[in-house]
Amino acid sequence: MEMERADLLQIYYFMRLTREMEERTRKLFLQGKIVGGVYTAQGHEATTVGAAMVLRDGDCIVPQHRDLGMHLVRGTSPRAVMCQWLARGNSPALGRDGQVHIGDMHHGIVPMISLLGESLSVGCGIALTLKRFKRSGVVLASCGDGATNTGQFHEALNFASVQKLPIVFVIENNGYAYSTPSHKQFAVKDLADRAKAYAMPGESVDGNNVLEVMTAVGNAVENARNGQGPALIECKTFRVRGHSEADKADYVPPELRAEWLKKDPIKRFEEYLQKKKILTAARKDEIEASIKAIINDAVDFAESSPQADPSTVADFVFAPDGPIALIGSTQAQDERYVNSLDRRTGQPFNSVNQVPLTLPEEVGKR
Amino acid sequence: MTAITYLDAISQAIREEMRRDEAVFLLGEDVGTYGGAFKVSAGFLEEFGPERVIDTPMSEAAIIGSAVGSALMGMRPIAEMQYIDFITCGFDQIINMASKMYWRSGMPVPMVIRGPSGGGTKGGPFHSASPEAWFFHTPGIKVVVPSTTYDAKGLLKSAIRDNNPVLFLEHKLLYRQPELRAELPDDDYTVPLGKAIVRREGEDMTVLTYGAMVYQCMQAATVLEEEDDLEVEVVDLRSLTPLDRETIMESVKHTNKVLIVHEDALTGGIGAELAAILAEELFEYLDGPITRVAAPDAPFPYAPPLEAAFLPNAEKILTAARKLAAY
Amino acid sequence: MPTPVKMPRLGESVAEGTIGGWLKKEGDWVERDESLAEIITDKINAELPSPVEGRLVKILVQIDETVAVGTDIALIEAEVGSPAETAPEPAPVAQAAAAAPAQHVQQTRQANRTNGHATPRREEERQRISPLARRLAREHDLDLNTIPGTGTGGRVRKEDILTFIQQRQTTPLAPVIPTTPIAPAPAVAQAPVAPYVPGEYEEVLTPSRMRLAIAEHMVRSKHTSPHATAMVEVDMTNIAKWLEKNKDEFKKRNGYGISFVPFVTKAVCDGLRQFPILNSTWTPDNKIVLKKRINMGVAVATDEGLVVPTIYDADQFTIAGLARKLSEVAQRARANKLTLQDLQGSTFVVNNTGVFGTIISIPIINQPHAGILSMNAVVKRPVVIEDDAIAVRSMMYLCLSFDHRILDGVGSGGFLKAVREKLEGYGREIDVY
Repeated sequence: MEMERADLLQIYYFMRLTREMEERTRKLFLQGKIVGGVYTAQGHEATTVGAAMVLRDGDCIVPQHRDLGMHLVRGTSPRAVMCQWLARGNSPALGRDGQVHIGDMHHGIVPMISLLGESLSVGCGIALTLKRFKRSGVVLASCGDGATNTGQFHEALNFASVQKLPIVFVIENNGYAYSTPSHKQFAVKDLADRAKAYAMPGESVDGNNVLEVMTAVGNAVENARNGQGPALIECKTFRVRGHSEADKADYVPPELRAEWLKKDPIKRFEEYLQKKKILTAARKDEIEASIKAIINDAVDFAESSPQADPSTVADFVFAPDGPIALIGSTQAQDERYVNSLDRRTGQPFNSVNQVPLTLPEEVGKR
Repeated sequence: MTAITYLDAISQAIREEMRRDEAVFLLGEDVGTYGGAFKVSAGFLEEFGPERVIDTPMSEAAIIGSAVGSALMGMRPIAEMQYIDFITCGFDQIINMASKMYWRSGMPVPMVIRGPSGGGTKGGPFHSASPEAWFFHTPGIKVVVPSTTYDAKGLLKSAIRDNNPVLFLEHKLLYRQPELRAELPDDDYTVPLGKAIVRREGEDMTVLTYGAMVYQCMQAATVLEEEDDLEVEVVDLRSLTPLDRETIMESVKHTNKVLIVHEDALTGGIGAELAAILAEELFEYLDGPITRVAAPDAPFPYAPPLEAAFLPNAEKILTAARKLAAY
Repeated sequence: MPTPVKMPRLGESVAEGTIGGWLKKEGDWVERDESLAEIITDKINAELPSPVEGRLVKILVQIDETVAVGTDIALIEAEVGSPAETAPEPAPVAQAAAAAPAQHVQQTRQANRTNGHATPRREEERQRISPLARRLAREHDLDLNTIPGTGTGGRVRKEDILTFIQQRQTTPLAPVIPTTPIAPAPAVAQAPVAPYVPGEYEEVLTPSRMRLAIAEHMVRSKHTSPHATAMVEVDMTNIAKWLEKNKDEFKKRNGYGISFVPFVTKAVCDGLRQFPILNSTWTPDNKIVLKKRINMGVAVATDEGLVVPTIYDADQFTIAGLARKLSEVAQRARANKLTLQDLQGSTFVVNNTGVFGTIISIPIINQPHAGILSMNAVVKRPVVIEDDAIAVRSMMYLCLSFDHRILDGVGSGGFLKAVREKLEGYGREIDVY
């Protein structure tokens, strides 16, 4: 895959941002500031960032709990993420839900639920709508190796294939569903083989190689966009930390972890960029400083945000009456339509930055 | 104007809404070419095409999940459960996905899940379910149970136009009942969700019921008037969520005695909640114990004598009502 | 103020943690997020990042010591003015706030309990009684022991209370009041009396409870109020003609009928407004209480006897409105569906004995009112009209009985004149709406 220097740096930037945000989240947890479970994805960055980098406006992601990278690439605001972790009243879920269970349809992000695999058929419904109105958009729906064992996974893949939906399924196979290793979960060698049962293309790739992920997912997305139906991409990767931060993951043989740590996706990509002289030491410092500033801003913002208001806990169980706009149509910007705004707050949806995050320009360039 | 059946009314409601609003579409098993297991959507495929009348694989979770995804996009899907018993296969999509979505994300999920419920058709344990209590207990989904042809159409239109997940429980025993044939207005009428209706006024006792049991209660009420000189007020709840507390309270304040009748099992049924509400709110208006007539706590049986013993009927209602009146 | 560093909860079910080692010693400067200590739990070992920047002034929990989640394990003195450091965690505040009312509740509960024990159980609580009947009895200050129950197992139910109240106050009925102390009512059968032995050609009837109640009330009323009666004759010709012409159409249009009664009731309301002394009561402690609302009792004959349901704020209604209310209460009374509300609260009574064809009838006051008016049959009579001419007119006598303690002839005469003039003032066309 031929890419501009700036694009490559952009990829690197998002991978680093993802990892640093999770590092900071972990610290907030250890400081007792996050009361619920914390799920991170060190090692997944090439898969999550890489898969999302091939998308464009009008596409939609259906992410899971280890997909902060996908979120950030598609515009989810670090402030929103931190408010959500700290359960603040102004978080996208208003403190009613935590973690990266955030998103809004105007920006093509489906907020996940904790029951893994369930979001896949929701992705099919979105793809069904895109297809019906002959939109060029594609849905990228991800799940872990564990979720491929649910009935939902199979129902969704089958339905998508029968209907030839513009949807690409990405499996982040990190070797463990919580503590259960792959050999106790499924008998196939490659999860991409599951695609054969649904007569869709399936491919297994090195999930720690961001360029390989982008090539595979990019091809699948283009095929889906051209009306050739769904595809399944298995990205083989490794979850370096526990299932959650409350899990020391001592069921992982130390040598296995050591082996994967050598294949750390960020380190590998960094070496590649340095070798190609794309990432200089000065440029790296700039990127790190920018990331630090963004995260500090997000944490400070979240910490100074209000706690959720207990008196509202039973409010907004039902949506109000009124017309509903087709997402992506001009009506969706019209405040008369119920779903144009977050009616709980009367404000626009706030999980996504109005101005998307991008790599800061080089200092010397300006 | 010709008199149409309860089933025709449902079919008309969907057809008219699909003509009125491009966002409305139907998906489910055998709904297209075959026209639905009960022929609710007969002729729909020809009129609306395969993109709006979608024959799906036998995958209730994918049907409901896809409906959620479409609804998030601003569509108004109608997901048919071939028999409402099969809704359990899509349970998680309703409970964890659809019902919680607006509350936690602010994004409305305007969709209808509908299908034939109820017993009395020799359907046995897997084709006779009354699943309302599970969903009645779940915040974020509305539950509607029409008993008449007029209501079936008017309530279904309201359900389709609602901006929330709505479970629409049709009673298959009523589908083609000749007695339920009715001439419906030509105009585009709706029946609002959350409004009960008093089917029969009375002073001596309130009967709270819904669905096919309305007819058993009306039959019992006639006997009570003729033989016992008792005037029984029959309230057809129509919507379980939202519940029309006002109409219920008003009636009970007036009559001071309450009999609750439903086809669903006794324990943890709708009646349990109604009884709790009345005991909390109207204790000192009660002149007798809140009484329930419901199916026993057992799965739905197949053999005709078992089915007859299982289902509440006018006779069982009469016995309970007489005991309550004499209390 | 130094910031306490707390033992974090490292997992949903984790309740305590052990200090595996201190990575900083007292007096060291620590950056925000810099590792401070090693924490060991049964699920995870982790390095604890400092929540703030500052000096580690005190280590509170030593190595290998295990403490509960939330326990302070160290103190860090932050630099003055640095932003985030001393913001207290919300949780303890909330806990403290929650704890206080809980304590309060406990105390209150205890107090209640003591109270409950102090009050002896009342007899009625052992009786079978429905919740509604219990409330009605309380509201009407009834002794439940005196009310027989007709429900299963002798349970006292709504009907029993309503029957009791109805009987207690039937004919021209009064609101529930304790028996007037100044005139201890000589009850119909007060002291033990030898049973009557019937002679030849005699038959002894046992009065119904309702009859007994009426009897009691009549005796009491005559004993309580010195009755005086005044009468006027009213020319009802125009009203009679209007009714003749419009009665059927009115009924067809409204679904309920219209008669002389709403006209008279309306006129009486107007009269009471002008002479409020007649809308009053003489109290046991010898005061006169004026009633600000005009709630008209209207006597209705039923199979069981006479009942007097109330039309609340009768003066607010039009003639048609009164006709509707009269029709409603009469229907309910005849169907035996009167509610408690219907049977209380009246301040004056209009009684139409005219339906039985009487031309004069002297009513007995419905205690504790100041007066009662009976209207009689409207009959055609030759009367002398203007210029000494004689004409056939529709005439009616109105009889007012009043409590002579409260007013005299002047008041009663003025009131009757006002009523008469109102009734005679209608022309050929009457707007009853």
